[in-house]
Amino acid sequence: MKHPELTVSVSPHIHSGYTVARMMYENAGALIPVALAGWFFFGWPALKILALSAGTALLVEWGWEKLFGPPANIRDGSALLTGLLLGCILTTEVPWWIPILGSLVAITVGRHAFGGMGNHPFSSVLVGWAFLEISYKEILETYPLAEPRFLLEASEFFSDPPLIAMKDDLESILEVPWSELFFGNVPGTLGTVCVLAILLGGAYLLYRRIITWHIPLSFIFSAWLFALIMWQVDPEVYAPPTFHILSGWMMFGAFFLATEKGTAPVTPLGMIFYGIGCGVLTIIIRTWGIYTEGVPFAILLMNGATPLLDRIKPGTAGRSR
Amino acid sequence: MSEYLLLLVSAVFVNNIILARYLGNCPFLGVSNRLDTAVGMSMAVVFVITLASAATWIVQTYVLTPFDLEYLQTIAFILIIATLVQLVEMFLQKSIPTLYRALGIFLPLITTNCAVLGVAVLAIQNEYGFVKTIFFAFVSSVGYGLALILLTGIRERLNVAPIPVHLKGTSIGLITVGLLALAFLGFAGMVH
Repeated sequence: MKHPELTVSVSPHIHSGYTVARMMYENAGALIPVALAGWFFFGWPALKILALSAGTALLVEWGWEKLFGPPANIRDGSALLTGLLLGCILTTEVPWWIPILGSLVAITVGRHAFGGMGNHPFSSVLVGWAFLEISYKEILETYPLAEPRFLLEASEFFSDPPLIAMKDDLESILEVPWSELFFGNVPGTLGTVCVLAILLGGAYLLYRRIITWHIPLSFIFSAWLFALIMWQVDPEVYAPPTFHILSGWMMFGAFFLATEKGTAPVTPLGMIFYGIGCGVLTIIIRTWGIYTEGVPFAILLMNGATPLLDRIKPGTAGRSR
Repeated sequence: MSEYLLLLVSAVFVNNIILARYLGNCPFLGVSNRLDTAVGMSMAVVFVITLASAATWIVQTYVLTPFDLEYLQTIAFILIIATLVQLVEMFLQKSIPTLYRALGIFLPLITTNCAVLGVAVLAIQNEYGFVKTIFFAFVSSVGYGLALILLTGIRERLNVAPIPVHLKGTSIGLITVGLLALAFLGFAGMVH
């Protein structure tokens, strides 16, 4: 008897109606401003990329559910979220098969090989992205110019993404007003350029308590502090800290990627250490590594350390040390 | 000083002996199921690799090179490492039983670990001096321990995850190592 007629569960019996699926859909909903910003700066191809990656993710999830059954579940929204997040970290210049391949790897190797949502040790989005980055570095790092639809003028400061400009010529980024970076009027991946839109989405996530402040704040602040120290050591060689936190994937990573459920620690102290690790590693990889962007690798590395960070547990209440 | 610092970053992160050079996979997957055994294994690896590299360096410099016997390097090193570890084991059992018990089964186990031979040969190939060889061996094995402990944390969790039945055990362990190596690629190119 697999499905008994009468199911008796333990109390509490009143359900808030807040389910995992709803959380996933709300999390995906927080990407609306990000997607709009992508459309605003890069035009309709942005929506095409998002649709391709999300569509493939849903299709693969559906196929896996048909083949292997639970815990794969297309209705829980996690596949949609993964697909959308992967679309956000690609440029609009990539050929059509890049988001499809990325989603395929993210959902199969990144997630279901490990037993589905909540069990995968590494952020599935970043597994898909890292696979693409290692295999097709040239394709992934061809950046389109930002061409705002209305209100803003196309930027004359950047022809390369800020982080590449930083590596090529540090002088060139110093005269750029921070507002250019804040509004995202720079070349880059479609979901990550506009800090304003990401902050809007992140504020919604915080307001709905889908994420807590610990990871984003410690991530951004530790990156800022570490960059500040380096900048104080030698301003000729290292970029100013504000530039670091406003450029690249920093904001997107802190609010959307580092907080992926199941891959980040759950205790407050663990989350703070996780954020600090992400922030410091990001600046290290950005400054000395061969990859343009340090955020994804920093998050993947800290994902690896998450089980150890989860060993930091609060003591038993009422018991002295 | 900065030379040694670079060597440390290089050996622990950039050219991590397991995640970038793929040496010593068998014990890596074999003992990464429980954290306390992984910690014991890491300590034993640090101990043995450092000691073995020092011994092989001496043999290479004062026996093999003067007599033009470099072509015997591999077999000589294997012999030295195996006998050395056995000797150390007997010595520890007799004189420091506490340490012997702490290292336990891992000491004889890593005699046949290719990472030990790998580090010894790498140190010779890179033409390090004696002190630098010891330092290189120490930080390489620390990198091995770091990767081992990270993997163990993840695998302890995977033990309770509903992994598809065909991927259970070593298969998912190998996939996890692959993804961990993918993450460590972020350090690529920092030190040449």
